[in-house]
Amino acid sequence: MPVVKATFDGRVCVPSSPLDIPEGTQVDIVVPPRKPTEEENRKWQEILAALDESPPPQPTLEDAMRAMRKYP
Amino acid sequence: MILLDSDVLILDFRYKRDPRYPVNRRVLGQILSGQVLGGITSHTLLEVVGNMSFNVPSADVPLLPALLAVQYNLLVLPDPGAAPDYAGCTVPELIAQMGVKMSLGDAVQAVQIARFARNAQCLLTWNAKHFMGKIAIPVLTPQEWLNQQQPGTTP
Repeated sequence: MPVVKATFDGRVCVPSSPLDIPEGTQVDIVVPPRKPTEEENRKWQEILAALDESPPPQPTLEDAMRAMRKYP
Repeated sequence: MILLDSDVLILDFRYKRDPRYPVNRRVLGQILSGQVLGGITSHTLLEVVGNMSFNVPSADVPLLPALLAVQYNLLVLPDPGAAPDYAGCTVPELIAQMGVKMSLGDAVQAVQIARFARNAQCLLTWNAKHFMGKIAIPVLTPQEWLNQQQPGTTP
């Protein structure tokens, strides 16, 4: 599936180069994730600190995945 | 776009001494810098939330999906706001259930029981202690249930 860059001009998305597709073709536009706010950054640091204070419930990543997905 | 499984995120914030941590970080760095578009399925994001729920204050659990998405610069597919249904549950119901410290799999079972099987006599599991007080019906081990059926016998 070809991917084309486009810029949002405030109203519509303008492709950076001409598109070789029939007029009226429906396309999907991927809206990039937004940036975190200061409050979200602060909260995230608080959560990471809480995680660092307690050991993971499982000793290794593989154990964590096994527990989470109920692998035998 | 590259999609991440839950182990990539969990390794990053939970297993920093894992030998794969530096490589994992480099990949996440490319997503964070915008060099590569990163995405995660809503199912996988909920798995990560369930994993974190055991060590994060319950009041913060509902914040985790949005925080994970913005902190790791990830697209969530499908967008839980636009597609909130999940296995007969809704994403907000599952997040609320994980607020009592449950993995995603157990939370799905708990919400489905509450919505569709509230009249069941009990749930039988060898993992009864993990469900105790967290679901809408009583929880017993198979042994406990047998003991109730046949008092005085031990199979």
